[in-house]
Amino acid sequence: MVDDVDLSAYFPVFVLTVLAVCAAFSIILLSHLFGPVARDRVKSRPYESGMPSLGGGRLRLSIEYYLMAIIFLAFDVEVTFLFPWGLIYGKSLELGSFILLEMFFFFIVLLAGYAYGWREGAYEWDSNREADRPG
Amino acid sequence: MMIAINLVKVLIVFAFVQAMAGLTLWAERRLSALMQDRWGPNRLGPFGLLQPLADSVKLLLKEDITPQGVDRLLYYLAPAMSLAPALMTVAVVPFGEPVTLFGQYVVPLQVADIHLGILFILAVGSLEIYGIVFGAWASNNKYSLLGGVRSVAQMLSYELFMGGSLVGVVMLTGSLRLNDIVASQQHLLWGWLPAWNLFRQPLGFVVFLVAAFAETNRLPFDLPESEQELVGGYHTEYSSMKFVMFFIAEYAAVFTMSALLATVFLGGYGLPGLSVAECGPVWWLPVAQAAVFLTKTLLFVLLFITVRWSLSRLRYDQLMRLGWKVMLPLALLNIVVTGTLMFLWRTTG
Repeated sequence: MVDDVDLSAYFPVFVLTVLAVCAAFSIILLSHLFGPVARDRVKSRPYESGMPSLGGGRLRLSIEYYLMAIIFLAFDVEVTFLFPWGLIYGKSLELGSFILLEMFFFFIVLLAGYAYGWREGAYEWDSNREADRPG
Repeated sequence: MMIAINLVKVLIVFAFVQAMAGLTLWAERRLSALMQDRWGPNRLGPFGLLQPLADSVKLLLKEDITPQGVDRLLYYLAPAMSLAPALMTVAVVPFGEPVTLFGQYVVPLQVADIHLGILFILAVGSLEIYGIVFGAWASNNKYSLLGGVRSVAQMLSYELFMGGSLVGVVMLTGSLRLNDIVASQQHLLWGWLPAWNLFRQPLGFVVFLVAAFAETNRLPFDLPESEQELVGGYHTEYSSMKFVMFFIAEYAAVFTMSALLATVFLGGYGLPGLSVAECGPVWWLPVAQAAVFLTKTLLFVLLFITVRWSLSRLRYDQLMRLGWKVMLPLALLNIVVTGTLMFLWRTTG
């Protein structure tokens, strides 16, 4: 359990981070040093199955991607709440059923939001495909 | 002295992860060849083991093309941002019980024995997504961009219940430290079944396994790089070593994820009867434990590879539906069931 915060345990993590970042950048550097350079206007064009590319490379994206990000934000915070709760769950059971009931209350609120998203079709990719169909 | 020991440990693990990434790549090529009735790389070194090394040297000597219209800073940063976290996540995974060196230094057999072990892995592991999305955006290529946004949406969806599936384990253990989680799996249930979380948290295991496949962008969830639609996905425009770095990152992630699966759900380095408490501090014990840990990890690596070459890819809407409508409720159900069972077990004796 958490007695005190001993930051010295993180020292090797720091060393490993420095090592990993240095290694990553030195690999990039190495390939610049050793690779031959033969510039060519056609070669440096963005790849598009061998055809001259149409328009820019940065497309407009479907709204579903943005929607997914928003739902993620909402639910990820809930999952983050579950970790400290799960951590003390076993110990708190000695104090009775309060912590279990607390979870049920939390989940009811969570599920209400989840069900709302379900009803609105937030978890359906291409939810408007039906409407797009001719006829 | 402790600093020297720590440095040696860091260097060993750092080199080991890269070696394992290469070995995983080799195993994938050999196994896929076996499954498709081909030979696979078999010339260089025994069984072709040196092939990954030779491939990287070859690619090191290839031209490093920077296409037109790329966002240069992000284009150069992206492979590094993808590789560095992949090499770091393994830091908290223990591969043996602490050993006492020279009679006075107690050395935990892992890079860092930190309290927030599981959270560290989830947090650093999800940093890899930045490399993918930056690389995809910077490339100025339609295929790359589509691969990148697919990858983000997929990772976001699956990370959610990946965390959720581990909450059950945390509840049983009462700790986020991976050492505590391993220690809590060393007794026997009913006198014969190892108390691995695989048996105590079957639902959590299944959900986590699915999430692990999605997080490492492996088939059946490899939509970010699905070759038939997106050429190569986010690394379409990358060449030379930058291209290799994305692959080392992917295979290092596969190895780390397997190590995490073995640690959290398969009892880590422990086997029943193989511990300091039962064998005493004999010299071969750390070796045996590391071997057990490696065996369990490689089992999961083999599973990752076999699944990749046996299953077909999901469609994107199927992927999202599976994540949000099946896996997320299952992860929450797992927490409810675990909580209720723990409560009932506590009150009834």
